[in-house]
Amino acid sequence: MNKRWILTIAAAAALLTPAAFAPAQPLGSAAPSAAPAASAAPPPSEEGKSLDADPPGVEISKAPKIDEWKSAPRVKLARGVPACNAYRVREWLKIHCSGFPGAGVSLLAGSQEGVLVWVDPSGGEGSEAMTKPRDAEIVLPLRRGDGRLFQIAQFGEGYDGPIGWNNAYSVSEYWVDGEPAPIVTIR
Amino acid sequence: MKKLRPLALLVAPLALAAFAGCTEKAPSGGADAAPPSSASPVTAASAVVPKVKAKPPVREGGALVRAAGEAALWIADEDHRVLRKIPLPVPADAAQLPPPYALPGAPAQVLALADRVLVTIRSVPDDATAPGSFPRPAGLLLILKPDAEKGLVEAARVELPADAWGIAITPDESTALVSSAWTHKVSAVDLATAKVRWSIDVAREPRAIVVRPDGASAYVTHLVGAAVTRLDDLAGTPKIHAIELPPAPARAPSSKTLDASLAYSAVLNEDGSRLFVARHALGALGQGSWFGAMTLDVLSTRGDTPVLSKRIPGLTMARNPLLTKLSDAGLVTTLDIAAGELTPVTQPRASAYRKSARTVVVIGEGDDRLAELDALSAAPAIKPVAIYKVGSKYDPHLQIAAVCGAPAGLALSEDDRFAYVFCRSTYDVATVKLSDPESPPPPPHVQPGQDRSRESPTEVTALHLADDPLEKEAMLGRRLFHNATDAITSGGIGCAGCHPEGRDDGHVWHEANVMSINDSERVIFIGEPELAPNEKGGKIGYARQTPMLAGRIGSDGPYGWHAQNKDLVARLKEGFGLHRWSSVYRKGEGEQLARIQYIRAFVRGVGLVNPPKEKRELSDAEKRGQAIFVSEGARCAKCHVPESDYTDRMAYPFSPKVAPLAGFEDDPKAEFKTPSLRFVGGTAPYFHDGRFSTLEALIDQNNDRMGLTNSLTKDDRAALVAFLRTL
Repeated sequence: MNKRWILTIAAAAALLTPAAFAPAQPLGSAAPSAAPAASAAPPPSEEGKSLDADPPGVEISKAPKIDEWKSAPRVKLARGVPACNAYRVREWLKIHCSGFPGAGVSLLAGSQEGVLVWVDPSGGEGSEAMTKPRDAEIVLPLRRGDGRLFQIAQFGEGYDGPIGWNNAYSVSEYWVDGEPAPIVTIR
Repeated sequence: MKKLRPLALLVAPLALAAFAGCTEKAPSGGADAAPPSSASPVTAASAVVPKVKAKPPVREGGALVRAAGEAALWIADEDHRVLRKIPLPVPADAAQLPPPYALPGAPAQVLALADRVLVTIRSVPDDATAPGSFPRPAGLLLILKPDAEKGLVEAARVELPADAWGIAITPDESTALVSSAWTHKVSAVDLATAKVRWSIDVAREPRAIVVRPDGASAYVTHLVGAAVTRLDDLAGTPKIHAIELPPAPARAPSSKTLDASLAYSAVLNEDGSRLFVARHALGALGQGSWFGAMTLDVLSTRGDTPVLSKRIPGLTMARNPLLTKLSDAGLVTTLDIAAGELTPVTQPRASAYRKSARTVVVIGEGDDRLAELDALSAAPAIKPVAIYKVGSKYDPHLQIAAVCGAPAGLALSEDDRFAYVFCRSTYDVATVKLSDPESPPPPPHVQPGQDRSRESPTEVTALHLADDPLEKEAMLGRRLFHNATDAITSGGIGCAGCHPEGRDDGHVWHEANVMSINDSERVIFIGEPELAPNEKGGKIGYARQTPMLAGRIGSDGPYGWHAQNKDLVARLKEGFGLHRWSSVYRKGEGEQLARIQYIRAFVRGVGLVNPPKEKRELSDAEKRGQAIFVSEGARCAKCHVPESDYTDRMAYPFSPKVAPLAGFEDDPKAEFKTPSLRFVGGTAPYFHDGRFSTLEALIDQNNDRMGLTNSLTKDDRAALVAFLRTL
């Protein structure tokens, strides 16, 4: 174990004490996070149509309200993972991932217009904080010419050591102008 | 410490031709046989046309390709100057292989059609005496035909600009396109007449060529620079377009476009709508990055637009409060950096499209790995589908593979289930079982404290084809030169990562004072200022352009931009420290010196091949330029001494002083060593900080800093540049 890890673990241990958690604490400070797009994860449903089979139109609409997401049908993505479901309202897509120790969501490249990201801000006690299952969510518009990449992070072993984070899921979305449908993948 | 004996240096080139005593049979055919001249081409009438002509598995050449219409592989073995045919499945014993086919020069790529095998020859040595040989270094396209008795016979050889490298054919198989790397040309060869239809100038170091399914256009990658070239109207007069393809946009600092290098390969997907370019993104952001990261960049061929947009400032982000605390305390990486595998493979060398899985398979010369990347993603290298280790039997001291080191060629089996890999530093062919597309392996997971993932479980078998033609020290040096995993030599990238084939990546590095955990202060190279923890208002480090090595390191010394290293050993020792974050290299003086001796034996011997150079009479303009160069008026030759590789190896201050470029600090050392001008025509950009993109710009804006050029007329300057290009 190298020196950097020892320092990281020691300092992280202090941050993992119960007093360090405040569930009501505001979300990330580097960029304002959005509130969850839906107040609760939608009920599980059958995997829906693919974006190829029912591509969004050319019209540009406002982001759906919470109630609209509650009844949104599921969408089958070009590649998916069991932990994440995708839902669609008009040209808007929501990706909801659950059952993993969510740490954060970031847009690594592409336009942030209309993009909302959210991760469960709840904490935990001691080392539980690192393993507590949390949800994370991305809402984005699917529009021609877009090209975006998101990172959904989870707590756990990673480059920084055993108390760190790693890339749980990588979400890619792009729509080449002139092609019939966007391609969205989660890995 | 053993040193390479002078006698060994003489013997080594001879061994290239002989290479007896290894696992091979004597080569047959081509090099010594009288080749048909280009005046006796394969005509439409004489060409063998099978009743059912098998389509080639790919229309792009490689160091290894699968044959069309038969179960076999072809390998262009550059170091042994032979073409090897490997039956499939790969036999367990090399004695079962047919004898290799000797070639008239070092091959770069092979492409197998049903009735012909095409091979590019980088250059024909100018001392070649065989009938039909050329009096000067020239590239060749060899057109070989299957022969029941001899295996292959030469049908035609087509002279091309020197350093012929990449091949691709049009869908109708009528035309071969060939890139010539050093001479930066692309040529079209009519395969029916074996005549060059056109040859055009393109940007520096063209390598891979990919023809679109409509046959009207082709893409050309470059070993240096981020742009890709598109050639239109292949059947007529070709038109050239530079296509912007920013490398690794998700790893670039906000609003910045990174430099790229090592684009040896490119592939199209099944319908030709996407072009995938595997290469190195210089200075890309990532955990543990100082040099950058491997990237697979995706271009939509509909409109030639990159599928992923740039990063923009103030990226949208949400963090759990615990992550915020850890991050703000500096204990973990910030969330705006892509985590995970920094570089699924290091020094990408070849790629293939795996249709059944819709993935792109890429091999890494530096880490002997093969990565399978999602072809549907906008950033396929960010989260690999699988990573397979192909190298094995690692030396416990040098950390270099004895089996399947430095993979350079790649092909997929007909059913897409296996990858075949040619390993250039150990001369093996490996068979790698790929994952089942229906049940892919768990995603590779980065090992704690490292930027390397555990590899996916796989089955690899390897067949040794030949021994290295170099002496043992140089052989070890070859392996170390290409290796990126030996922690004493470098921190994550091999010598060949910045000096591909001993040339240069065209990048200007930041030689920066940075803090690290183990040291209070260290000087290292970083690719971009944003990689440094102590960036000073956007400025960090002194500008250090990657120098070319081939043909420029014969002297005793000194070395380094300031002539601070008395000899090559001292330079390599300093280099070991500059090319990393950690200070692991300090462990063991002897361990460093052993590696340095091996690398020196490789780079100083016949290991690094000089770029081709014409031996010819100078033109009138070049003679005039030469006269200016040596004149008392211009005084170029005062420092760039012709008798010693056009350098006096001394360091001088610039007057007037130059202000540093944006992003760089002002170097307090005013003196810079006179660089050698050998091969200077092919090493743009120029100046220690790469501020001049052409020799013309260098001379025009020299302002009497190096020699006295202000008084030269426009014609004089043009003549001087013309002469410089001949060096």
